[in-house]
Amino acid sequence: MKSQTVKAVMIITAMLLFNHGSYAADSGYEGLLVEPAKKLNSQPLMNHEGKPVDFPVSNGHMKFVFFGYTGCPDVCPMTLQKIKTLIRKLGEEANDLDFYFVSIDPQRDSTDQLKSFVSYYDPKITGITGEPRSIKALENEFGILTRRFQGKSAFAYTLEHSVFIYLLDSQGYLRVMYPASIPVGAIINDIERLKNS
Amino acid sequence: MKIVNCILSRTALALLGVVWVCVAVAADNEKPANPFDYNFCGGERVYPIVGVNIATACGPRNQIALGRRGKISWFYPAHGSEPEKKGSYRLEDEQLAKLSLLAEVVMVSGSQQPDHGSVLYKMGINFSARKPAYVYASLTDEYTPGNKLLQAMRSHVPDELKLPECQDFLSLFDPTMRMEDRLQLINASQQSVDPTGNL
Repeated sequence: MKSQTVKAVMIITAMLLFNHGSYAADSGYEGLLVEPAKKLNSQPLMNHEGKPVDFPVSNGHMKFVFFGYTGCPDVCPMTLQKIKTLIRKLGEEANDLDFYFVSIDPQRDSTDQLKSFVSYYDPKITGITGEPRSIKALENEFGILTRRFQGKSAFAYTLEHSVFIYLLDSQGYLRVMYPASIPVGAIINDIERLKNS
Repeated sequence: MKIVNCILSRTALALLGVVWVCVAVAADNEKPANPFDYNFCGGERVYPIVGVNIATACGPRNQIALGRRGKISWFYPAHGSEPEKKGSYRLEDEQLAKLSLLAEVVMVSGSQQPDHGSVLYKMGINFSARKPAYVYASLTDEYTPGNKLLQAMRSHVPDELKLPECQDFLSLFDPTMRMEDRLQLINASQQSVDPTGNL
């Protein structure tokens, strides 16, 4: 029976390795390095407290940004769970980083909904929303795809969207992109590399 | 000891169950599949169209293309009625997922300006429902998202690119042009204007 356990562990390990792979190892980063780094134009948005912010905020912190919506059934909760694990593993170091969840569904996601959604995972995560036009402009800055599939009523629609986690450096430049399958340890390694670069 | 064995066996069965579910989901291509194996949530998998023209200054242009349905095609060289080497086949899903990820980074990184180099390429990327991106750059071993994507695409092509070495060429050139037209333009430019040889 022990051999069954060993086999199972080996299969899972192989699957994890297969899923993660090495995206651009010769860049020195475990994520996908954006080269040259992209300067992002900020957009007038608001945080989940309803306060206006020019996003991305320029406060000298490195930032993680993720796009999704509170009604997202699968990948958004899983990615936020990953961000939560990242925050826990970073410990006090996480205080020097910002974590943002940008709603791609501003018509349905109120600031209250956003706040309760992101706070469930970690209070360090800030929800961002705003006018649909500004959200669209931000999506274009990050080059992400969102598509809407209309249901039977005006508010019955689903969204599909890119699910990268974006890492911005302290100057606000987009530096690294992570597919949702990236292990948390790989992100932590990249944070150190980026700090030292 | 029996209790330990029992716990281990139950754990093994539970883990195998998880593996089975993962494999079953991944094998079903009709559905959004496993959202964690790719960069996309919901709907069908979307592969980018990627087209590349690549050449040396004095050589013929070569073309490699990735189609929306995941087929890679190549034409070496791509002029005249019949290329010397050509072919196409559908890539595996895992290979396409990796190419798609690399293409995503190229899109975000924006277009590079070409620098002097022995091999230049022009690459266009078009994901559905998004603004296309273009890269015009010299091919080097240095990491850039464009170089990385091109190298990854080349690794799926069994034939060698036709890239003859050129002497005394420092000019920037357009690899999408036919070789004859390109050489004519370069010669005319070198004779008339720029003593350094730059276009």
